[in-house]
Amino acid sequence: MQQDQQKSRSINLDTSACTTEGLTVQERSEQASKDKDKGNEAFASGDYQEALLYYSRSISYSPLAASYNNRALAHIKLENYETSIEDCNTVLQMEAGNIKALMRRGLSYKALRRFDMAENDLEQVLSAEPHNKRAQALLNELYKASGKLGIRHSKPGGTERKGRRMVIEDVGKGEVSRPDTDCSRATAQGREEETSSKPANQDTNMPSHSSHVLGKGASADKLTRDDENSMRKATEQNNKGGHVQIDATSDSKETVDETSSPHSGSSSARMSENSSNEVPASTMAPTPTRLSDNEEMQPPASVDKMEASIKHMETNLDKQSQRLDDVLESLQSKGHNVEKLAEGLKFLRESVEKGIVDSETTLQSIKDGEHELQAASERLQNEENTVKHNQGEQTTTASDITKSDVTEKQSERKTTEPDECTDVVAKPTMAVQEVSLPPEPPAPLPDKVVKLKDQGNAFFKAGQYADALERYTAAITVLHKAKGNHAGNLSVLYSNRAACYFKTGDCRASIEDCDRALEETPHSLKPLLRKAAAFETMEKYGFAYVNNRHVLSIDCNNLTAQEGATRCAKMLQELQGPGWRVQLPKIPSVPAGLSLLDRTTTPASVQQSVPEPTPAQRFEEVKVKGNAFVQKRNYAAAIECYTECTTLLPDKALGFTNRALCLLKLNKNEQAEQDCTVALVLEPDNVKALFRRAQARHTLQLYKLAMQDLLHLLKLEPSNKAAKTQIETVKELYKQELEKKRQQQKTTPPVVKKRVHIEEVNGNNSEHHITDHTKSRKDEGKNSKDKKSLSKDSKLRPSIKKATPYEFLSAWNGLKKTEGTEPYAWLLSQVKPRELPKVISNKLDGEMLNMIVACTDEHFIDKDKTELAYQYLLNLCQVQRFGMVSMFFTDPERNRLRRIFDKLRERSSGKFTTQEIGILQVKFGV
Amino acid sequence: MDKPQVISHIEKSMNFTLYDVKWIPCSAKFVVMGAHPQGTGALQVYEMNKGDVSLVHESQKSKAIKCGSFGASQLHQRCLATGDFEGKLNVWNLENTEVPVYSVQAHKEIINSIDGVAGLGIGEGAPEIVTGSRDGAVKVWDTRLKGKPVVEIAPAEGEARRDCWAVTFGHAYNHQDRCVAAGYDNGDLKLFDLRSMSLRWETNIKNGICGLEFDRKDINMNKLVVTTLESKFHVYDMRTQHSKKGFTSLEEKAHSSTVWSVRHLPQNRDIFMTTGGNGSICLWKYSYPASRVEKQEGEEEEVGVVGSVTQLQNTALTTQPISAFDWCVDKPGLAACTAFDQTLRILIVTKLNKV
Repeated sequence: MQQDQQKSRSINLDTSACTTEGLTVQERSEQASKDKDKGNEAFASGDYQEALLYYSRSISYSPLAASYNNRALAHIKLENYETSIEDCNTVLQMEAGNIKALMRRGLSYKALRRFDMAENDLEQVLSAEPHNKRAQALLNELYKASGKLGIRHSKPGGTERKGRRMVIEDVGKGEVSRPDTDCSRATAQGREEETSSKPANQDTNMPSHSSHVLGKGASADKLTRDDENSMRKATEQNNKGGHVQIDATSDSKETVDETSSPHSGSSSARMSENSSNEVPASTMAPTPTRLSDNEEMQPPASVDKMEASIKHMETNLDKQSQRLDDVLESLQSKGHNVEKLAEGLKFLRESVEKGIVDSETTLQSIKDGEHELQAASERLQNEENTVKHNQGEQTTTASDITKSDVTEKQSERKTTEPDECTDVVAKPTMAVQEVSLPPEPPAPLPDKVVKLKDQGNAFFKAGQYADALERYTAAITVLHKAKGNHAGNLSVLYSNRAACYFKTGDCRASIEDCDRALEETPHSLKPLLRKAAAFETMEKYGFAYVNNRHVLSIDCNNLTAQEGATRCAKMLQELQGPGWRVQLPKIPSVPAGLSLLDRTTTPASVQQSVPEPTPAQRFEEVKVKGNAFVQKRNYAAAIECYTECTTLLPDKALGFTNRALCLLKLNKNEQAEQDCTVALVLEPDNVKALFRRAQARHTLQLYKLAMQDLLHLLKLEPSNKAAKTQIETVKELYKQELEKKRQQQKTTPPVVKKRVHIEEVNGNNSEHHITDHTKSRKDEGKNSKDKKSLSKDSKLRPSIKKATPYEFLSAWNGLKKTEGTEPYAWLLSQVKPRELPKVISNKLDGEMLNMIVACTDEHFIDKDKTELAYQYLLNLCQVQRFGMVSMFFTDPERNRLRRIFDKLRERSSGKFTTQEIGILQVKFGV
Repeated sequence: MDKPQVISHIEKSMNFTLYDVKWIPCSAKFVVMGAHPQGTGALQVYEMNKGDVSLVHESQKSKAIKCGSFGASQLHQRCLATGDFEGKLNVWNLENTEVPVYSVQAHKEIINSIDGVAGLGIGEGAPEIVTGSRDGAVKVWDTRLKGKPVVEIAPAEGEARRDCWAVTFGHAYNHQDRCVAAGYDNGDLKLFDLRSMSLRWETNIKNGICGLEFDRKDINMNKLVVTTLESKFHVYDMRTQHSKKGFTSLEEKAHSSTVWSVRHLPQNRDIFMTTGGNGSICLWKYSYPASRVEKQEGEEEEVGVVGSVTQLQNTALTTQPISAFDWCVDKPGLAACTAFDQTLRILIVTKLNKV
């Protein structure tokens, strides 16, 4: 059948070619876009062959650049790279500088291993869009892949990169990063083989791979052969060629790439750090000579720096060994192959020490190695030529790319940005920052840390995550000086910084920080939650799930974790089928007694370490309390908390802005405005304060001022969506106001010149022109409501004649934000009483019933429409579900009903008898 | 608020029972078909005009009209094919509705459902009309052939005749291939291959089939949505047919009453609207599985894998059944629907491009 389909498809193509004759240009372009859409749909469903067919048909109707571009992508998916390049070329002829076409051509060139061309394309993309992550990632991969073949790039630092690596942290989180899609994309199998032999260490391997990069791709691999670890070599051979390592190295390399760029000045210092870090990489060959071997692989240029760095290494040694201890502990706690690891790590430490002690010898051997390396690279150069034409090589890379495509495909289908998945960029990690930071202040005081942390928190709250990041990092550095008794605080800081990283989209760094935070205080909730969130964002649902479960095992009522776990479970099930649980990493067990207890101890420990609560801390505490109230929507209580905040630290805008929020919620707009104004005096560019003041002014009908606030805000944050929508509505209202003003001026004599915005509603309510300030304000509020209901009514009037349930309900629900019964009464008055059951249909609920009763009370009975009120109440009984809903009247509501019925009795004007009222009363159950 | 919203843009109440509505291709007009109280047929053309609809053309026919389709009409002619209560198939030129362009006594009883293909640039091959009737027959018509159907699919003499409630074309992606799917009141679902002139596949879903539609008529058949009497619909993956298991499907509950019809968005085949007997309409999105085929262990033949549907929106428009729904081909998100509350509604569905 498959064949049959293929055949008929080719027929299809032929016919399309002949049907183009006799069509007008318009018809053709219509057909072309139709077929392109079909192609897109087929592409979305994963049927690339069919997509290709439709794109081709679309092109045969009318050659659109988009069709060519899409066809290029389909070709890439089907691995027809040459044709893909042709299509891209066509697109670029039509539209020079088309980013997508450049990207796709780059991808195809890369797949064809024409790296220079690929690089050229990708750099063009980057010059047009400097922040195109996908292009960056691809380019980095490209450097690696090309580096693997030994192609020298003129890119500055291109060779230098190879020598750098970050290792130490990776040991700790080795097991975390194992199923990293980026790595597994290339090589799930190969890596698992490695990991099975040494579970927690495979990330530490990566750097040493990168040192081998030169030889890897070639089948005749000289460097590996003469190397120390026959073990790894064996696994490599299992992997059938080296493409596995390409991607394995890619991660570590990019780490290096990122870290080295911003602080090139301190490179030698970092180098030493790196090289000492490197040592654990040699777990498999823990001999003193390993160090020298390792450095031997480094490019010759770096050897000079090495001398200087070794001195530095010694100073770092203590720190490092301490670190190793920590790592060891953490690994033990994680319960992974502990004994083996412990052995390995002890060995390592010895080797480090030895390595440092023997630094002299090492230096010598480095120099020797340098010569060797040169010789080796020469040999490689020769080999490289043969490798280029090596068929086997090509196929391996091809498959490499397909695999990567598969992940891409999946990510695209999930309609997430493909960049997220392929974004292999690892941002600066902790170790580097420690080194690269300016020298720490000599005597770090807890106060200073607190200050930094508060600043960080403030920045974080304000959404300035980069600044917050900086503060936290500084705080961590300061606190590190006084290490030991600050574990809890450090954990909090790390956790906060993780949140920053997460917000800035750097999930990897976020996870690392979470890991560190967990190292300091294991089983604390926030870092676990953040880690889970980061993993989820990276689409590593397995780990996200595990972390969420971990949280739940500590605090089973944590809603975020519960939701996260369910979400992840769903995703996993979708991705891996019913057996997904088997593939999960182990969920760490929580020691008994820790669950729930931990929640209270963590914050407590933070406070313990900082003795007497300063106003700042008190502020923080009260604020947190206030926030909790806000979450529970207990705004009055929250206001009290925030008021305390403002008294504690009157120079902090935060208290004021938060109080303003609560006031807004309670509809106390004037006070909210005042609070915001205070906040803005303290911080003229406080975004939240601006927005809230605008909201307040909006409801106070000070449209112009609201608009000014919003414009200011948008200047600060041009992408603030909420502000944008708000400004649109305010603009509209302001326009209306102006218009009304104009009309008013035409109709009314200019005698009443004060308080113009009162007059906007109607000409007839001249009683509003009262000079009393408060009174007129109140009226204003009323007017706004009037106006709202009026505008609604004007819309509703025609449809309400038919009084369909849909119209009525949407109008009713639309009033939910307004206060008071008046708009409801207005709406109700447009529905004839006997239509009530039909209009409400089965949508009656307690709220609605109460509102209708209130309406009849306040607006019909009291305004001499007793008969109407009676009719409404009578018909209300007929509404579906009335019996059920009326059972749940509360006492005040019952009392109100009694009052209503009493009034009705008093004023019955013959249209209904007291007896009838009695019956009604029974129906209402009072 | 990122999900699509359904906005009832215009509501117009009519003085006759509405059975079907169809947008006239490449225009802001649509045809409403139905039955006047005295049993005559109503055929009215409306035009959208500044937030209201205005009657452009009206004509009364002797028989109540049940259904209509532009599917087999050429774009420059835009002839409407209708089926009426007496089993007559008529093709009307809407410019002049005095006499039909083509007329044939297609069935003995009411024509429940009609569909056309290869007109309007949708589908390859000869333009054809298919009708399904209470007399149990499904007939395919070519307007170039007077008086008799091209294909007649009816139960053999003496066999029980089931009421055919729904028919639709599909698989018309080249000149040769074409399929007709038919649904019956007893839950029979049949797929006829018009190329080999054979019954390609049949099944019974144990519930009367009210409506069915392929996601696109003019591609290698991809998906078929089948709606049933008792608040359920089925989605079949039509790409992979297993010799024993047939096509795989999923079942979804909706509307908590009869699901009257289904219409796929012309601009995106994976989004469709179902209309309910309780006056609600539901917007759905189909998501494909990671792999659309799988091989079970020890078997050579591949079996299809069905994806999942998610509800994007559920809106109650009225309390009466929504009898027909039609997306506008030219403006994504614009749609018309008729309900038994004798009201015609023009709907706008937002954010369909962001789904």
